[in-house]
This record gives sequence, C-alpha cells and structure tokens, in this order.
Amino acid sequence: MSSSSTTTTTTRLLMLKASDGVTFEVEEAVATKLGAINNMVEEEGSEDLICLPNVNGKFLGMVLEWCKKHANNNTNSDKGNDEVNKWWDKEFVMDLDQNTLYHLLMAADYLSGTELVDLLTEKVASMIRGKKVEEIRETFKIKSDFLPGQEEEIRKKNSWAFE
Amino acid sequence: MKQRRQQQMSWKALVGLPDLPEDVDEEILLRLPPESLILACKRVCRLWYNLINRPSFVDKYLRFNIQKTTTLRYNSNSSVSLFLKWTLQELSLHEIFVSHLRVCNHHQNHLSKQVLSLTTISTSTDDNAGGDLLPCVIQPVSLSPFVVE
Repeated sequence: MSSSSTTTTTTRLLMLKASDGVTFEVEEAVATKLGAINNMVEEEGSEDLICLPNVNGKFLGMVLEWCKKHANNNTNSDKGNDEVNKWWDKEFVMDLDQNTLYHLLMAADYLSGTELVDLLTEKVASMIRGKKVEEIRETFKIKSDFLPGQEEEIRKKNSWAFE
Repeated sequence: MKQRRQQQMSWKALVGLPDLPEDVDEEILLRLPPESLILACKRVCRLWYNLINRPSFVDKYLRFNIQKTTTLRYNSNSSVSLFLKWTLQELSLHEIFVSHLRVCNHHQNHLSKQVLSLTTISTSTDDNAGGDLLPCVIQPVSLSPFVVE
C-alpha cells in the first residue's frame, strides 16, 4: 500500500507504519489525538504516510484502538459520553498483563498520547497504592540496589513523619 | 516526536518498571499519596529514591495535587500537599516550621543547608473537625529532607 489512497470524502486518511512494517489506515481526527502525530501533520502537511520506527505494530494497534474509541465518543454529543469513556477505559486496562502495560505506556508516551498516558499511569499507580516496600518489589520484580544498611537508614529518616 | 528517545527499543523484550522512561515513572509516582511515596516507594530502589527527592519532582507533585484537588471539589475531604523549602539558619522561618514539624536531630547538623519537606494541609470533615475553629489541619508529613548543597 502506498500513499495513493486519495479520498474524496472530507475525512483525510493517514497511513501509520510501525517498526515491524505493519501499517494502519486511520482517520486524521483519530490519529491526531496523539500529540506527536498532530505535530507531524501540522508540520509536514501533505505527507500521508507516517513512519513510527519506535513503536511495534501490536502496541500501535492498541493505542489507535483507544484513540478511535475516544474520537468516536467525543463526536457523539451524548451526555452519557463521559460515562461511556470511563467504562471503556476501565475495560481497556483491566486485563493488561504487566509487560503489555509497560510497552503500551512507552508507546503512548512516545506518541504523546497524554490522556492515554494518564489512564495507564493511573493503572500502574493503583497497583502500587497501599503496598509495602517488599510487596511493591515483588509485584514489579524490582531488586533492591541499596547498599546494606542504606534502606534501613532511609526508613529511620522517614518513619517519624507518620508516627 | 520526542527527541530524547530516538534509540530503537526491543519490543519483544520483557520490560519492568525501572525500564520505563523517567518521565513515565514520574507520572506514576505523582499519583500516589505521600505515605506511599515516603514509607514505601522511596525504599524500593535507588532510582525512585533519587527521583522522589528531586526538587523538580517535588514541584510537579505539588502542582499536580493542587490541580487535582481543585477539580475534585465534590470530594468533601480534600487535602493539598505542600512542599516547604527553607533554610534552617534563618531563625524566623525555622521557628515557624519547628512548631509544626518535628525536626529531627540530624537536620540540625546542617544548619546552613536548605531543607525540603512535605506538609499536607487537609480540610478534614471527619474526627473532631466539626467544632474546630481551624479550617485546616497541618500534618507533619515529610519527605526525607532534601539537602541542597
């Protein structure tokens, strides 16, 4: 597929090409929900094919799915829209495994999809909230890189604030 | 397109929280309550410890949470976290804060240093706040003092 996809309708179509060569044809209104794409469209104007060498097709697809949903829901001037978006967002993040979540987060961040970054970081934050140090390390498989005694020192320094 | 991450990433690689770009880590930590940041997150790894102690993070945290509180007015029990930066040798400031914050001994070893602390001011509707004349409660919540050299 090339940029020959000229269209007579008012909605312009953009071709987004992921790092693995997978391409997505999306309406401009959907793609420009991503700040990075929006900037490129504004700067480069006529270019219909946008290459995104840092985003894999799997995650680009998911990001675009989110954009599409939100772009559609925003055009419907339904007062229940916010509720629909919230419900859909909840579904969207509910069953993500950690690896997908991080990759998606990196893709969203790279593409400056601010609202999506908000949604995903909130999801990660909800996995941290209320957990103890050891539980956080276990959940996210983080190894402590403090020197022996350092962590205890930090604990001592800070615990008084919440006595 | 963000310039700072032009390098190719291996998308098949298993990534963990510490592999995320720092601004993403920051976005995550902004959303946590002070207790979680101070009692848990700071002790998880060096990266987070340094990030949470950084004045620029402190600034973002404050802005983010003030903004959140003002947009969530329906929440009857709102609180704003303030980060205070003061120089211990300035007695006037020191006196003000020492009455609210229990200053640890080790602070006083750095009398000429600037100290950064977090204070949460909450308009609490629970407990005995009903008959209280003061509209807000100042809680001595503190990040480990950040010493600015």
